[in-house]
Parts: sequence; structure tokens; C-alpha cells
Amino acid sequence: MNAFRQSMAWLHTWTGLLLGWVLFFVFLTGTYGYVNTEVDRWMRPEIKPVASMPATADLLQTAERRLESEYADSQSWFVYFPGGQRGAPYQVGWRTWPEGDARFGAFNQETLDPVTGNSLSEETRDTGGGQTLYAMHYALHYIPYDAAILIVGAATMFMLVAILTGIVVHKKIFADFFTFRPRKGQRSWLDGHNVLSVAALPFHLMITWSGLIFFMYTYMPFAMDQNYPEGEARDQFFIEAFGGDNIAPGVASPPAERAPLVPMLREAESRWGEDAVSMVRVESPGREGAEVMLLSREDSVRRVRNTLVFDGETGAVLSEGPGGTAPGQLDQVLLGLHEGRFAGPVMRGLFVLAGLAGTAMVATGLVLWSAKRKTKLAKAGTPHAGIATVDVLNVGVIAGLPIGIAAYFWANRLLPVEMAGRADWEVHVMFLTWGMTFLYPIVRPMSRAWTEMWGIAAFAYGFLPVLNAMTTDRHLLNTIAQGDWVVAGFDLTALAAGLCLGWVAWISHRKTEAGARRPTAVSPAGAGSAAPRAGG
Amino acid sequence: MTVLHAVFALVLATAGFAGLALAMNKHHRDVFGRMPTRGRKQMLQAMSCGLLVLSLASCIGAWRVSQGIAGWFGLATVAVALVALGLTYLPRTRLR
Repeated sequence: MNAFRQSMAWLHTWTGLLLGWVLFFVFLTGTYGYVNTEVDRWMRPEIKPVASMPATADLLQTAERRLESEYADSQSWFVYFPGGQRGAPYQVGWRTWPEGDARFGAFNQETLDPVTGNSLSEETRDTGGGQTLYAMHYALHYIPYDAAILIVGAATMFMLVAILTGIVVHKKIFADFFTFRPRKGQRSWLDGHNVLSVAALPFHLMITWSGLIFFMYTYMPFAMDQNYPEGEARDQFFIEAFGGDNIAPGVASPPAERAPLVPMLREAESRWGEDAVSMVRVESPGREGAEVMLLSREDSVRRVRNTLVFDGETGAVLSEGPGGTAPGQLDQVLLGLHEGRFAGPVMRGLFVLAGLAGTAMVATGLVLWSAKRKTKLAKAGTPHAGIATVDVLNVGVIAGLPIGIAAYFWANRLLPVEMAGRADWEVHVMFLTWGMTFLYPIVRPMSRAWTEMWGIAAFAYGFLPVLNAMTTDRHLLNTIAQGDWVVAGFDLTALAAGLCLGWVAWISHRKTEAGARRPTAVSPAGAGSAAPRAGG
Repeated sequence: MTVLHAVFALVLATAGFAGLALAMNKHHRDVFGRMPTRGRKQMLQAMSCGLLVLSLASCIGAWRVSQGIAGWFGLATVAVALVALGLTYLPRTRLR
């Protein structure tokens, strides 16, 4: 058993180190996914909440008019109803006709004014919003999608390995369940790492496993490729495996009569209740064989929603869902838990906390790797290039990425609204800033680098509400007065994050001072604060 | 699910996990200054399990089954963290 545990410890340590930096990025940007709609709202300050939202049927009619007059000749139409607790925007979407062999055309969308029905896209700043930030946790950025999901997939696989080996390695998983011993250097880091891992273990297991399930067709495609090749055969696979709750992409058939959408909405509401429809999708609008699908809002862990499919020419009901097979339902539960789209505000908060616990678990693990080796080396008295490199990367990733993300929000407020390629530049600013944070621990002593970087991060978040007030009218005074809690919540959370990061900076500073007085101790805040001093 | 429901379930879960912690020799000694007797341990464990079940039940009552279970795990994470921090930083445990 001991040899087994030791080999598991080796595996845990080295897979953790190798992929820890990627996993930190995935966990932190993924946590933003639980508030992507809320972040979107903050990053588009031009879109204001409406005092009294028109009825759903009126909204549908407005959207229908807009699509009919501007995008009549499209492969498909989408109408997204606004509202819900997350303050989702009122949007229409459309797919242009596909080119070449593609089955789906390019997807476009615009936000509409609920009252006038005019597009708000012109007057809204160009931004990637929370969606771009959240998409990074599986698609990364700047590299092709296919490569990115393989990198993230490999990291996720090793995350699963790290969790399972971590459980084996943790000798006193029950005895130390509630144990945190502060101010004991390496011991404290291990305690912190253990408590963060064990307390949120159900979340860590769920999020890692379901993250792999998301891309199972990419990671293990062979059986499907063999038996259900591309195109309609592939559709058949999904129908057999998960039940047929989808409609086929539109084709350019001859023009035909188009049934109005509002009666379909009334039909759906009579079955599901008032305000229960979240989306309307039309394939081949105004053409032969057109189909319309209505989707209900999500309020169950199972991602499956009620669906109602209509004949787009006659308006007759064709089918009602959800159907769904047993494996399909299990799949949807796992994916539903991962995304947490069903979550109300309280549970959304819990998802964010669990995501942050995962982020902190990875961070403490990375710092622990370095702290452990430094304790040994401090005894031997030899500095080590490998550990110094790990330290620089730790500072740059753990303290640097939060600063980079804050820079993304700063760029959203500071870049000129009319700037070309503005949304891209927001992301460039994020990565340029993040890149610079790696230089910081190189030019500053490691002992100071942690403290100062946490200080910078504290300012970068704490000042966001002020920056918001200086650049827009969606500041706390207005948003709280108008009860716009989604935008106010962003500012208040940024303020709280700033305070927490400031507290971390203060602890780090205090430990560095203590470490300077006791040169052989390894200071946890820096995890590196003592060694350079002891060595040099 | 209102915030009040969540706080109620969180209090139950925190009390439950605190009880489980106190049923352990180490934490019992830290808090009460002596080892727990066998009977006291069993009583604490039984009571704690009851509190945790109540907490889960109140989550399911307010959130329905599927969301209730998911939400309870989230609250349990917070509760465990609170108990760990409490055992470390509350004055009574720090005295010893």
C-alpha cells in the first residue's frame, strides 16, 4: 500500500505541476462562465433595463417584423426573450445561407430595443463581453479551436488523474477533514490545499468529469465515425442516442406561405404557462418545409427543455418534447450540472464559490510544489534554476491572470467606442497585460513580487466601480437607485474582490517581513520570499 | 428558493459538520480540553447526521429534488470551510 501511495504521490505532484498553470486558467475563466450574462450586461452599458417590459407576444411580433424586413432571406431565425433573474437581453439571431458543403450558415445576432424594435447594435460598444471570457476556458484564445479543445481535454484528463491520486495520497482525509494550521509554512499550504480540495470534492469531480463528457465525440470519436459517418447519418446517431428533439437545418426550398408566430407562442404558453418560452427558432422561414421550434426556460438540472415543433407553413403542431433516452438524460444531467444554467441567484453564487475553490486548489497546489522543494534546498543551501522558473510562472499565472482579466474590464471602459476591431483589442489588452505580469517577478525580488502583484490586483478590481462611474452612467448610484442589481452586482463584486485581494497582499507583506527576520523559514505568502534571501 | 431558505439550510449544515468535527478526538480536545467519551462521540455523530439530513431535506423542500441535491453539495462545501476556519480562528479553540 505504501509503495502504491508513493507512486500515486509522484503522479499527483508532477501532473499537477505540468498542467497546473493551464488548469488555473481553465478554472478561473470557467468560473466567469457562471456569470457570463451578468458580465455581458456590465460590458454593454448602453443597454439599459426597461421600466416596463412589453408582453411576450408583443416582443415576438416586434422581433418577427424586424427579421421579416431585414433578414427575410435566411436559413434560420432565432428570437430570444429577455428577462429572467439574470437580465438576459432581448435579441434576434439569423443564419445566412451556408456556403459550399456546409450544413449551417454563419450565425449573426443583434440586440433590440424592446419598445421600439430598433437594433441597438449600432449604439452599443463592440465587445466580446462575458461570452468571450467564458469561452476561453475550453477554446483558449489565439489558437485553432480543434487544437484548443485537445489541450484543454488533456489538461482535464490529468485533472481527473490529479483528483483521484490526490484522494489516495491524502493520508488523513477524514482525520484532517476540518484541519487548517496557519503560520506553519509548508504545513499550512498543504492544509489549505487539502481543505479546498476535500470541501468542494463533489464539485471538482463533477466539473472535471462532465467537462470531458462535453467533448466526448472529439476525444473518443472512432465508434461514431465508423458507424455513423458525417451528415444525416450523424444526425441519426444523435437521435438514436439522445432522442429526437431537434429540427433539421433549413434548406433553400421554393417560397411558401409563412404561418404567423404569435399563435404558436399562445399554444406553447397554454401548455407550459405564462412567460415560460425562452426561445423561438425558425428553419427555412417563408419556404416549403419550414419548421418552427419553441423552447421553454430552463429550471431543472437536466438540461432538457420542453419543446414544441410546428409546421412553419400551416402552423400545425408537429411534435412535443422532450423525448430523450436514458443515456441521453444522464448526459444532459452531467452537462446541466457543469453549466449550471438552471441555477437561481443563490445557487449561482454557490457555483461561483465552488469554482473559486477549484481555482484556489490549483493555486495552493502549485505554491506547495515550490514551498516543499525550497524547504529541502534551504537546508542544502543551493539555489535551483528549476524552482526559480516555477516561482516566476506561479506569480505570473496565479497573481497575473486575475490582473489580466481586470485589464479586460478596464479596456472595455477605456478603449475608444468607435475604435476598429475594438472587441479584439479588449482581448489583446488582457493578454498583453497578463504577459507583462510574467516579467514582474523577474525584475523584482521574488519576496516583493507576490505582495506587489496582489496589491496591483487589489487596485485593478477595487477601482473598477470608480472607473465605471467615470466613463458611463451605469454606476452604483444609478444602478442601485434603479434596482438594476445585475450591473450593481458586478460593481459590488469587483469591490469585494478588490478588498479580498488587498487582504491577501497585506498577509503576503506580513509574511515577507516575518520571513526576513527568520531567514530559514519558508514564507507561505511568497513561498519564495525566504529562499532568495537565504541564498543570496 | 429565497436567501432565507439557503441561510437556514446552511446553518443546519454548519451545525452538522461542526458536530462531526467535535466528535473527533483532536477537535474535541482543542475545544473542551479533554478527550470525548465513547458515548459522547456517538451522540454527537448521531445528532450531526440528523442535522445534515435535515439540511438536505430543507434544500430539497425549497429547491425540489434535482436542484436541492446539487445545491446542498454547494452549501456543504461552504459549511465545511466555515467549520475549518472556525476551529482555527475562533477564540475558544485558540486558547488551547
